[in-house]
Amino acid sequence: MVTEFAETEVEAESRGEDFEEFFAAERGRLVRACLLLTGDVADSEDLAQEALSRVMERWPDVARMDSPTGYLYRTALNLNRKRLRRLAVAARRLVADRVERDDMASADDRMDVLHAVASLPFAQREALVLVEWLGYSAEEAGSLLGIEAVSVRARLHRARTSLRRSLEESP
Amino acid sequence: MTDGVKRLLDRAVGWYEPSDALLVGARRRMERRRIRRRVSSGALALVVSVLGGLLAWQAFHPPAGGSGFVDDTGWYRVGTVDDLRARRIVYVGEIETFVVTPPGEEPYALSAASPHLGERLLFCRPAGWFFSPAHGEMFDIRGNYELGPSDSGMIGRPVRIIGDEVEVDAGSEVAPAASAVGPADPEPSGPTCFAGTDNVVEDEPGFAGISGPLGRADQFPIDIVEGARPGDTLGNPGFIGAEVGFPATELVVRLVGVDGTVLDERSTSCDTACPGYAYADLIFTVEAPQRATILIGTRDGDSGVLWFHHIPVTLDPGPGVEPGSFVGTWYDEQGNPTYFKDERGWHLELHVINGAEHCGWQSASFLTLAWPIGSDFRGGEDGEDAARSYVRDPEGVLAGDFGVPPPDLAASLPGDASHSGYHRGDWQLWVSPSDIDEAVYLVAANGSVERWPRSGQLIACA
Repeated sequence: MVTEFAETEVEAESRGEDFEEFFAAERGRLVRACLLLTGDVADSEDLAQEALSRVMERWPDVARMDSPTGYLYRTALNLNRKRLRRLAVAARRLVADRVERDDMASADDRMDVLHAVASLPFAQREALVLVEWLGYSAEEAGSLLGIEAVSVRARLHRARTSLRRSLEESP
Repeated sequence: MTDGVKRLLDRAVGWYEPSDALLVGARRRMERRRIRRRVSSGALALVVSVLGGLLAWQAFHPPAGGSGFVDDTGWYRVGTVDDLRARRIVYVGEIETFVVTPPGEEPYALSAASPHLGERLLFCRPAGWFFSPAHGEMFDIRGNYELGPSDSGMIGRPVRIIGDEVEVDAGSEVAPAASAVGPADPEPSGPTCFAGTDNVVEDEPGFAGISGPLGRADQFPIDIVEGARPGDTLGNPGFIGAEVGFPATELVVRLVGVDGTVLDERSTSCDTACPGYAYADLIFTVEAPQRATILIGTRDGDSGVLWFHHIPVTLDPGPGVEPGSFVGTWYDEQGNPTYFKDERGWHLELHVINGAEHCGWQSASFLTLAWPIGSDFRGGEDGEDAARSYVRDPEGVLAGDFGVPPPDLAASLPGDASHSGYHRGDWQLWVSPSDIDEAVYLVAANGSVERWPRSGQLIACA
């Protein structure tokens, strides 16, 4: 159940009855969030596509929820966890290395940031994306993740620290 | 810091725009799931109606009282004590629970969700333990923790016996069964169900198990998640996915007739390994009842050896779709007709008609599709570019004069095909962005697929 969330501004805008409207409002933000989560463009579209298809399938029910957007992101997060479980241990290392830093790209700080985010432990990455980028409160993110708000804050703190350190070290 | 982080993240991904195929792909995934479910449930219905299938059905479902939820409190009737005792370990897919009945003991139930991260546990009969193909946890037959990242034993479920019937409370959890029913079994022994050439049995009938919606857990490690079971009669066609219970670099699912002919084959490559859940679909149109074998091949990542396990199946034609039933009025996603006349005249988004007899074209069918898809073709008002014609000409009556290629009546859908939303009775129109200039696909409710090639011109019988 994702009924306890207050709507974010973007979410309020996306509350059409029609899935197409919902899709149009969410698509960009969703794939970018998935890119932050996966660190890989192809994986992010795959993840976003699967999450959207699940939401589309249940749209009559989802549309009646207080927060269809919350349901969408919870679905994406769960699918991503499932994906990571499938990839198992070996993939964890790969995920961190997914965003390759070739010579051309190293000059581009967006690649540095993406690489730094992709290198974060998965739980920290989830918290960072939900709170810092999607704008959920720690309480809302905690509900989405099934953890306490205080744990979200702790993960966020570690994520920010790692991110800062990692970006300071990058060339 | 927060605003700074937000700006940083914006800079990292703000440039990224999703591809236009996102919605098409999402819709396609949804449709594929729906079709699979429909075919799968059709297959099961067929099983019930066929004697051979009935026998197989009874192997999972005891006749007395059947199985299912007995009320809305979560109690689920599994079967009779005698039946469960005869089978010893039963996987009940609907409630994702194993029911174990050791000789001389009462049945007990274990959740098939791992206490670690909830991943699905399988039962490895050769070894006699439960295991997680994803993370490698192992539990003995009573659910005691043996190995891996879990910090507890399997989750138990309450069991009660009403008369002769065993019921499991699917909504409740109890302490791991081991503490309730006695000491643990001896250390697991025998071959494992993980990778390795030493412990994979080649070509042993039934070693590769199948779990349809009812599930069956006594023949893993390979788990066919949708489709038929050994000895089942498949609805037509079976959509068959396989989950690999151990690391592999390639998964091959092959349908082979009794004469050795390969009827269909799908393979999935894994760049590094498939520690779980690689899948491939078999889509095969059955022309007549026949015996066949499903071969599931997994290429061992270390040795490179492709191991096959086979499952005998009986293939019957599905319930069938009435020949020619695609002719007539089609409807769009909202159920509105796609060909109708009003005060403004005829409107056409999509229409399928048979060829005219006086031209000798009655064996051919014509599908006219307004172009671009979803527009309203108004005939002469819009010009010929505003519609496309796709032709089903199985007898080639148009081949000579119009160069219409033959249709493929047992086609496979391209990977990027998706349901257009147009439908009529048992038929759906599927289109593929990569192939729309060449053909469209008509998908029947029984899963058969026809590819209708495009005619370069709108053909009319004078």
